[in-house]
Amino acid sequence: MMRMMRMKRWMEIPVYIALALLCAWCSNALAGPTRRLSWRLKEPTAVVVPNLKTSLASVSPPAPVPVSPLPSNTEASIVHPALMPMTAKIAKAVAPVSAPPPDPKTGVMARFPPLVQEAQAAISGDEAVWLYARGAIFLDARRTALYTEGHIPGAKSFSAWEDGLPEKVDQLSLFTADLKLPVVIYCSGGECHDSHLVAQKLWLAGFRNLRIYADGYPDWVGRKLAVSKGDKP
Amino acid sequence: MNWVTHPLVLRVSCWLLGAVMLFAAIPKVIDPPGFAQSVFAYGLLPMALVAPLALALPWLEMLAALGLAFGVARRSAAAIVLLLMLVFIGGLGINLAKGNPVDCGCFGASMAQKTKEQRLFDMKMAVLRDLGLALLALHTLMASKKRQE
Repeated sequence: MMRMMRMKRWMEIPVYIALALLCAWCSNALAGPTRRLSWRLKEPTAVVVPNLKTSLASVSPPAPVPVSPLPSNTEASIVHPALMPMTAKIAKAVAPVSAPPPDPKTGVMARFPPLVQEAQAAISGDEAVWLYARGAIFLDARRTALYTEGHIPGAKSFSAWEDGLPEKVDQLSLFTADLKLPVVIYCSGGECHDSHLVAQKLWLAGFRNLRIYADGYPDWVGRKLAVSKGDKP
Repeated sequence: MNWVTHPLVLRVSCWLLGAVMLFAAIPKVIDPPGFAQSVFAYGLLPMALVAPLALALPWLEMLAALGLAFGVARRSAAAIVLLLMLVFIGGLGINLAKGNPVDCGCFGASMAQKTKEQRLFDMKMAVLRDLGLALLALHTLMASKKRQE
């Protein structure tokens, strides 16, 4: 009798675990996209498809670097609208001293060439602002709730932990003409590793110029630069 | 009858433990990605195990809390809580020893920006709290056993 009781007691713990797994599966299946977690944090499935990318680029050239031609040497023409409120000191650092290069992409690639030795490299706040002014792609690796509260204007939400990241990475790789152009990823700075996780996934998808904005969004806000609110970039 | 095994003391102990566990489980059940972020920050698990743990563990906490509160398989629930507390203390202890400041994630993910020193202090407090809860779980386990005998 005692033996039976003991066996029953030992069976209770696996039952608790099985019930917990069942409840977790059900609640995760019913959760919204920002609250859903992929059971297996998998790598992106569709890696780069060169032929498809080439054909896409030839049909409608996408604009991964939406920098308009730089007509003059004035500061206002080079500074992105979102950077307007920044102080004169930062504006001076961002704006080129001499005449702008004929092709903005060339200047960006000269300063930030594709990475060979490592998958990702950290950049300072000044470098992030410089890249932003030249239309580099910015990705926000923080949670969607934080992204909605405020993000760098134009940055896409690429939350490292929420479901759907592999699909977003695949989509970005398919619609980005040149995977060697800089992509800036940021999160909350400090001990935040989410931008590194997103960068790993992007590297596996073929991106070769991944720059981690190490001080992240708090640094951007600290510089009193423009921010966007809401779920749209 | 020893006061430690007194039915009222046992009941209060179960309710207290159940309430704390329930309070801890709800934010994690609601937001698994936030908890996964915390689990990953501990740096103790391979990536493949982070998501299953972040999804299942809060529910295990919740079921154990309900088991304690309603007296369903109470001893097993107390054993689960004790085991969880020992795991949490171990995880926090290893990171404290490494000097790696992590968000405890005990009551859901914290969005607050904190300094390294603040995080390390919070971790020490969390270890003390978990020790207290482990003792409470041990008491429930032992007292339930005595009462059954």
